[in-house]
Amino acid sequence: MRSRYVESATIYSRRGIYRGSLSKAFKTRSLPESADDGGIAATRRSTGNMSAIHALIPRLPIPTGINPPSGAICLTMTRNRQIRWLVKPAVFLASVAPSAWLVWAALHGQLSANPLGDVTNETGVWTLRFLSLTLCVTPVRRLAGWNDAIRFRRMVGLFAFYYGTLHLLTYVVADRLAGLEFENGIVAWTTARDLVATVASDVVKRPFITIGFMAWLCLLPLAITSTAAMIRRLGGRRWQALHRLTYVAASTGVLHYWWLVKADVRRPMVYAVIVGCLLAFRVWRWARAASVPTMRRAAASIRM
Amino acid sequence: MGTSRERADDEACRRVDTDVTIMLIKRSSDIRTSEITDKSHYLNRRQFLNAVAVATAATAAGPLSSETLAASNGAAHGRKLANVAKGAFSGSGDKINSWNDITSYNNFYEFGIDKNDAVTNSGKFVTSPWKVSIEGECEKPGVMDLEDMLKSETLEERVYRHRCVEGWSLVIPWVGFPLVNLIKKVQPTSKAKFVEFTSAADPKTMRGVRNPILRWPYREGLRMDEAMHPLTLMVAGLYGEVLPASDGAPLRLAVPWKYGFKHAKSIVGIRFVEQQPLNSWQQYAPNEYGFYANVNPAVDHPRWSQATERRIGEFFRRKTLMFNGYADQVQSLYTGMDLRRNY
Repeated sequence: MRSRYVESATIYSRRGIYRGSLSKAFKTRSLPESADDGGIAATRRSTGNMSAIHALIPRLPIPTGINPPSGAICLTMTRNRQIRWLVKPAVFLASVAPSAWLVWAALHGQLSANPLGDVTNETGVWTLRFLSLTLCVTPVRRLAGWNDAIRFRRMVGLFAFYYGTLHLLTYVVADRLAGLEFENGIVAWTTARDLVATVASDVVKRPFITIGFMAWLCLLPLAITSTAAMIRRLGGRRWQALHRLTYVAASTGVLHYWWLVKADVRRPMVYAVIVGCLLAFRVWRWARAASVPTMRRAAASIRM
Repeated sequence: MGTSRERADDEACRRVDTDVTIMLIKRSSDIRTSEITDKSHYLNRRQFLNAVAVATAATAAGPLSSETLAASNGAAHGRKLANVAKGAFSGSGDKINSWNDITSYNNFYEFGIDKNDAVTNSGKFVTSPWKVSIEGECEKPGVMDLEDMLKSETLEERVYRHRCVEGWSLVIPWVGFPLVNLIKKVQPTSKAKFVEFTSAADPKTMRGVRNPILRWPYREGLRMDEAMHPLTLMVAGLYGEVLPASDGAPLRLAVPWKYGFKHAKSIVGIRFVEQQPLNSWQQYAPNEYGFYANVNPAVDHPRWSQATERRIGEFFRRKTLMFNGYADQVQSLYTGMDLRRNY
């Protein structure tokens, strides 16, 4: 009970609204007496990842004793509101832009003579870019201390799934469906059957398709469990464990790119280096955490 | 704290504003007729602004997308070739691809690895004068001037299907002459079993050559009977015009029953040899690219199927035909050969 309460309080502090009245708020809810400021801080640090996840949840019941922000239009927005109403929509639009541009360019003859090939390549590359951005969030928070980055992770991650799905669909339609024979016409159940068969055989037969499909399969459960309800249902730890699949998706995605190029691997290499560094950061942190003697771990975690 | 400084800044701004205003005031009589922008320039300016707008849009979203993307602006048109005869195979019944498609969608790694790099980066490439060195096992080796070579040949138009190993295809109206004519003139000896073609590789004008993906210069080869087959064409033109640099000017090969990479471009050397030459792509990845490289829907590339192809401009993929549809003409060259092994 106590720990859950501390977490939600942390969120409000993270959003920078009630930072000043935190301890007061806790006192009015008659928490155990030991929960002084130091205690809160320690708990907060040790549940750092948990609260990070909870910070994603848009609306939590506001604890009594804390006045909700007034609904009146305020000219000076809180940082929280700035992010929510200005920065997030901007990031959303910027993330949609590449796909919108692709559609526009395809319709206006701005792509090459093989526009379907372009769409396939572009959506694939954008998937890798968004996956890399998702993996950037934690290092940015730890190294640059920009904690608000967490508030964009779900959106960026979902855009990785969005581009990955567009990529897969382009392949299924432009490469597989377009290569079918349609002996009974296009609108026939045999079309669906043949499409499934041709995709399946291609996935089995070609290693670079196999691994690309695997990467997409890794992203699927992450997209499904991205809602607040799913986070609550799974519980923070299990959710977090599941979402480490991002590491697999990014690695297999890079490998997929690497295996498909004909010569010159410089482009896939760029993503290999980026994803490699971002994953190395995790390994480094785990190694460091593991090397801290057990007795000192708690103390160290406060400093971290 | 900053008020006095702000005031000073304001002052400065106002001062600058005034100066500018003074500078900009011009009475109408100040504009001489010579200063009035010519209408054509004005229109050019519009075009320019449009181009800038498109370019900005492209840079806004595109920079990031510059990995593969480019508009399909084809090569500039060249001089019309005189006396082009309609040769055999000039009408294959397929719809011919546009000049833009053919000149902008093309692998020519000497200019870069993207399809449009050839047309974008070949501006500095000089194709005249051009010399071709004839070497090896022949009676009349030597350096031939391309102009002389072309003068002694009758150029003919041939519409060939062109199938890339990557799975796309074009229908191209080439202009050229059968390679066999040239071979007969230089009289290969009995030792000549293969012909090796060497392409230009000038790092100054071909920026792709600075990148050692393949071992430059690009080399390709044909067996003697393949080289002397009437379908094998030395190409000097496209759509009745001089071949643009993007497509292998001034002299390239067209072997329509083989994958595109067998079509050596910007040829500077023709050598008659006894041993099967090592072509560049085979050297790069021998398990993926062979010496023969005959179009064959039954033999897949290790990483993708060759059963179908996308004809540029079409949505549905076509079934790839054995020997790219030229089986009647060429399959006798390969009787008794295991084409799965000799890919």
